[in-house]
Amino acid sequence: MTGYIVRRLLWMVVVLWAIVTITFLLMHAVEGGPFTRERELPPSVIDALNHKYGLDKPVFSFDVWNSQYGQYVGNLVQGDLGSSFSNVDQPVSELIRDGFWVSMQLGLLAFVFAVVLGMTAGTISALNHNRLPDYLGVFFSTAGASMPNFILAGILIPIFAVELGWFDVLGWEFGNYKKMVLPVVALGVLPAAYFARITRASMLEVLNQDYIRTARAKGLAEQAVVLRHAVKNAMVPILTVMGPYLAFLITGSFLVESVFSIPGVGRRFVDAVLVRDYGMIMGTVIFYTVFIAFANLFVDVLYGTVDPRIRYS
Amino acid sequence: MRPITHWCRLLLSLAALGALFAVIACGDDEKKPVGDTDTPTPAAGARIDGGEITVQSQEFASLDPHFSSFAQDISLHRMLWRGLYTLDIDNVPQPSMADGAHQVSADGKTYTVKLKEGLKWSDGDDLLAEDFVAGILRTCNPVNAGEYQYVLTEVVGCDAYYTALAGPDGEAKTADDIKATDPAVAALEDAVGVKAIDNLTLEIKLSSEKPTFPIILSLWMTFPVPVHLDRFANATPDEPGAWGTDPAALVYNGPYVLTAYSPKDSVVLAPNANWAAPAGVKPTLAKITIQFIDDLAQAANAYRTGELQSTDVDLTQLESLVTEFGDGEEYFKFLAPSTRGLEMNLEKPPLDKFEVRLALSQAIDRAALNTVVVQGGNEPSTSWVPAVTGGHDPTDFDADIGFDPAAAKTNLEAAGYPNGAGFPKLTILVGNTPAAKDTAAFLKDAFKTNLNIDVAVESVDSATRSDRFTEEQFDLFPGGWIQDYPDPENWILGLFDTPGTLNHYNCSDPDIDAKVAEARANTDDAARKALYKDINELIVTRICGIAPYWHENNHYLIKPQIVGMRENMSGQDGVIAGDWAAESWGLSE
Repeated sequence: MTGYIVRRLLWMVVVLWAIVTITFLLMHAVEGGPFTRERELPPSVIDALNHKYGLDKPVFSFDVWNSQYGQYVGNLVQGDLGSSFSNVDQPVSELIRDGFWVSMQLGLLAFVFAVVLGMTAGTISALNHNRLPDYLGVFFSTAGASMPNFILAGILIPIFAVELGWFDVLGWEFGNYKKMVLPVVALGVLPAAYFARITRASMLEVLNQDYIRTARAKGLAEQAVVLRHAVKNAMVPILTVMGPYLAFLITGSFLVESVFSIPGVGRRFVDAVLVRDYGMIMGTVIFYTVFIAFANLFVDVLYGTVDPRIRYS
Repeated sequence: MRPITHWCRLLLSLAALGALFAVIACGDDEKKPVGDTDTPTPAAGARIDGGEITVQSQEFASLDPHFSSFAQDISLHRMLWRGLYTLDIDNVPQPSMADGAHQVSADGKTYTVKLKEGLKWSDGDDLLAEDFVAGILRTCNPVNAGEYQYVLTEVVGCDAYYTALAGPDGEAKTADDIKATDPAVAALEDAVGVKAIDNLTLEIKLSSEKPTFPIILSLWMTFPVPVHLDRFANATPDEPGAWGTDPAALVYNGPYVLTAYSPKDSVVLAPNANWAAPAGVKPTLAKITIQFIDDLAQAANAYRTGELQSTDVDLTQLESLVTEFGDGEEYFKFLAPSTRGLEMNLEKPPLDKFEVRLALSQAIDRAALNTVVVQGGNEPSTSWVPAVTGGHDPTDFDADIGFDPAAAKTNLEAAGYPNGAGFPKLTILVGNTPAAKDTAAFLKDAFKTNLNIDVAVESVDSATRSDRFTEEQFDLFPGGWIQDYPDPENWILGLFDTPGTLNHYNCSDPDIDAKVAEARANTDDAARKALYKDINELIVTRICGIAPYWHENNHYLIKPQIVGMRENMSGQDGVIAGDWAAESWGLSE
């Protein structure tokens, strides 16, 4: 196992270098730059800004350390992600740290919401196969999976914030339910629907297995049959999708963050692309790469823990 | 048994997370946002001392007034710092930190300004002439790379200092290029024509007369630098000192101080106890939260829930918002110093032909465009420079270039394209916002209907659009201008004169060039403004780069209990109603 993890970590470095290089190349290939404005800056100002941020050097050069790419990689190796162009005087690492802290709270809560709701709905559906609870569960999993989170947010806000006044529209404050419920629900319903569908399918398959029939024949209580034997064995396919979804929820909440004006890292990333904030684009791409790589590694290791039949060599 | 143990742990973990979620979700239901809907709304009455409001804006890029050029940045800068002068609601410079009017030498090139006695920074330190000297030097500093340096181009030595480090356009720096640490750069800084005669007297030398210079001395790029702070006291040309964003590491001389900053979320302001209150207006609000919100539809929802007490308006919802909140009750609009129109690249045939440009302009029904695209939110106009800034009334050129389909067809035929036959395919380059796309669709339809010509529409993101414009890779481009300072020269210099650095229309008209040269040299304010008015007429009637279609309005929602906002709406508004005089904001009983 240790050797496997070390090999994965080494590959991670290679992947990171490739992504840094490709992103750097694409970022500079796109039209416009960080100082391209609707309100155009005079050439003398553009020159001064380019000099200030080192953009007057060639993007790539055989004289690597005198190129923008070489300088960036050199700084990166030393752990320096540079400064943001659109949040002047603010280090990219601090902006990502602050944004990620919020995105992680939102994503984790949405994940918990999705897991609890999805697995509960899926299990109830499977246990009541082809009966009303099953139909309702299938409806939920179909409707929920069909609805993008920003559309759902657009439905939730007028009803629960504007009309009923139960929740707020703006911002994020951990511990303040008025600011937390709507973003968490908006973000969590789609994965909940997906988890419900996977859980239902997996449970239906497991419930028809011989060992379930045997457990019931032994006289085990239905609760024990479901929790100890059925849910347990139905978890592997669910777990397979949970890992990527956790990473997705933590990193991919841009639309929900935008709709609710939540200062998360997803919103920062998209905004950075729109204004060609080179420092922030690179920083967030690197951060996402490392985060998703570690999330996938974690899930792979978890497989081995959950299912002893899986061995890594 | 081992797997069961693991499963039990997993299920217990899930249960614990669920419980955590439940605890979080059920916690803190006592907190209410400012102005929550069940908070009693004070009836309109006398101003109260205290209270707090939350207003919508957009996130600033930089707190450094000597660096940034974004409207939302400048809006905030003016709440935190002030210059020697400030513009009143009629755009007339009035003393702010200055003690009365400035003195000008006989040749009009040397300004002497006395500061009021006893001025203090928010930390209690003295605000002195050297702070204002440092402010101008910081804007001229090439390492700081201030984006509004060009406004100080007449200050002796400012351009030479600012451009000391820049290489030729598009070329990489070489080892031989001058360094910021080079003594020659320090010499260039010393040569900038600004110095403190004594603690309270400032002298600024200009390379040429500039009647608008008192206005410049009210703008953010001349605001003072707190040189008593270590990082500014030790500033050198290569290390001008980071302005930063830490509220505690900055000091202020404006009506408010910054008490908190949360990136992508908000800033919080409190009154500055040492505010000089030059016009006798001291802040009454105890706290202002400026919430950064890009999505104006959600800002409207937050206004409805009471989370916001003021917001800019989403023009796609304008009619419904006006109906919901009442014109003049909670909805207000004010003419912005901004004109938009169809910009044309005169180097792209057949746009080099005046008759073609005229035909395109006459094919645009500006009133219909205003109704269709922005629900009647702007003011249709055929004048480039707004009347309030010394231009013409919006309808003054309607007979010349306004909507006239029959004349448009005639002019297109005169250009050699009868009924559009043989007209080359032009492209309208627009951004990817709904309003921009709607504008392009309207224009495309208008040209087809009225001229029988087909134009293409290319929609790109904002940065690409701006880049193509700068590189002059466009045919037709819905764009315009937002005023920097209230003088007609700001609408013309550099934009329509042949060598102008911002003249991407490739307007090259000897009459315009001659008038611009004459206006630049004329120090008689009335005569100078008359010349700029003539230039406005030439630009418009010759469609030398743009066919104006509207002046923009600023639109706001303001809660009834707020005072000092709607009363101060003016062309100086940045992104919040009356933000140029935010010390006037307050709550009524």
